[in-house]
Amino acid sequence: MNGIQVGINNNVFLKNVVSDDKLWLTLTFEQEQKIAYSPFEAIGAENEAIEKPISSMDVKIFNLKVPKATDMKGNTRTTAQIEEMVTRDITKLKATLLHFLKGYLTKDQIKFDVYRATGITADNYGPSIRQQNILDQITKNLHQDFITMVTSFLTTKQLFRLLLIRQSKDKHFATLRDNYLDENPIWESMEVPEEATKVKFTKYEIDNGLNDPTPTSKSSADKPGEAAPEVTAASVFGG
Amino acid sequence: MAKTNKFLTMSFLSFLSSATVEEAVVPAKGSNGGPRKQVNPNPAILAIRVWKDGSVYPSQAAVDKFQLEYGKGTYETIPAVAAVGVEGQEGYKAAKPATRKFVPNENAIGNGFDVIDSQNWAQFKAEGRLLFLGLVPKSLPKVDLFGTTRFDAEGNPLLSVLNQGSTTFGQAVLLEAIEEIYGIKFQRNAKDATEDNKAIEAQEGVEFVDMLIAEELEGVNITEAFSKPISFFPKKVTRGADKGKDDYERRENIKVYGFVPLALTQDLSPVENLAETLTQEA
Repeated sequence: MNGIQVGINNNVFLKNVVSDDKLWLTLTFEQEQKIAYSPFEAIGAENEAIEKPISSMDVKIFNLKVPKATDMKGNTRTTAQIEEMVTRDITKLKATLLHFLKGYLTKDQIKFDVYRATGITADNYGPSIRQQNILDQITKNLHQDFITMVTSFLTTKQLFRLLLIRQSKDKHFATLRDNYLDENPIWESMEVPEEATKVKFTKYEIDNGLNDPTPTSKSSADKPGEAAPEVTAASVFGG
Repeated sequence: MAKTNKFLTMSFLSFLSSATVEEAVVPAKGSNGGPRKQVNPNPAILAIRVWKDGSVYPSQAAVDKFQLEYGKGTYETIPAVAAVGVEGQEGYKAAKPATRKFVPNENAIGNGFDVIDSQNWAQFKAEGRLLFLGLVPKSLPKVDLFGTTRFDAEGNPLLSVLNQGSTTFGQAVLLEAIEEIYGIKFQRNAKDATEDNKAIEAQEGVEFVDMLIAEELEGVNITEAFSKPISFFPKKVTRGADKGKDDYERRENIKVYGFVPLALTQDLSPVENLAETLTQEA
């Protein structure tokens, strides 16, 4: 048994959700697997082999950050470009949380109050989202609303099919796909039979090795002597 | 002295006492002059008539209760969209030409039905097998019955749902399902295989079956027992490389009804054990 890893993982349930002071959201997934009794245990056991989780994995969703004024090539980003990037990041974060919630709730039961305590209006939207403190409040709102809506289901052990992709060719850590989740879901009830599942890797992911769980050596994942690249929503989710 | 016309006498008109006038028979359009067949079931019952050619027609009562009629709408122009990104790279989106999209009026969306074979419905746990209907808005994708029609330039439906008689789903799925599940044979003429369809053997059978839309069967309230907030209704991929592959649609807050031959419910025997055998996990 390999446990939860990059790939399609069956019989997974969401065990816990935590938003920390860095505004990183940690989703703890566990997987139910049957374990076999030894002959001694089997003879003495009152029941058949029990199910207990043998695998647990934390997947982190990072906080929203205002992109740097220049891109990686040194080109200055315009105000419009920065606003577009932030809007895209907010949309992706909300879409990811919505995707998980739809495993438990109907659309009319799902409610996010994204702009709570931000002062954002239609007139000041652009300048507002370019401020980190405003983005932090948006992140907090999304996290708090998600946790409120999902908490009661954390004890129900509803089982799902979970797809995790590789962070990159060089980094074997598991992460979440964040694009087009309706057409390419990553979280699907196990009530859907495997023959009908919509959970699968995209052609791009397969071609780029993002479906490969093989660990890479530390030397290729982390070049010694170099500072680790800043982890931002843009760097993780693209931008 | 005026002459009397010898024909204009009571004796000449006496034949009138035994004369009758027959109802004029209006031949159906495109027919060879025969009488128009009654395509719909009894208007007072909640039913769908399934004909041997796969065409389906609802009753008036079903149209009224489930709001099956097609409503008016308007056409919106969707402007062309330029390509985004580089082809072959992640995030690439191809250009799209301008199109027209039909948008039903907000209060005129109407409903259709998903047809669910309980054998393929993983959420349904029971020994028995039957067909269910899920009442779904026409606006949802992959609606099996009464989902779409064509509209004129003013947004009026070209056909009423009572007369539409679409055969697509009936031929692809429903005829075979009714035969297999309920043991009813539809009359068929022999047909050679084509590129898209297998050969059909001739068989004797019925011209049509009236299928009841049942809220309750044998003391089981079907709608209460089997309607869930989230349902995964089995479907098939209908186009492309994966045609025929198992698929599903996630539906929310859909009411489910039994879909059984009317004749069976009147005889009762095939569903006598329904209350004992049908259960569904919460």
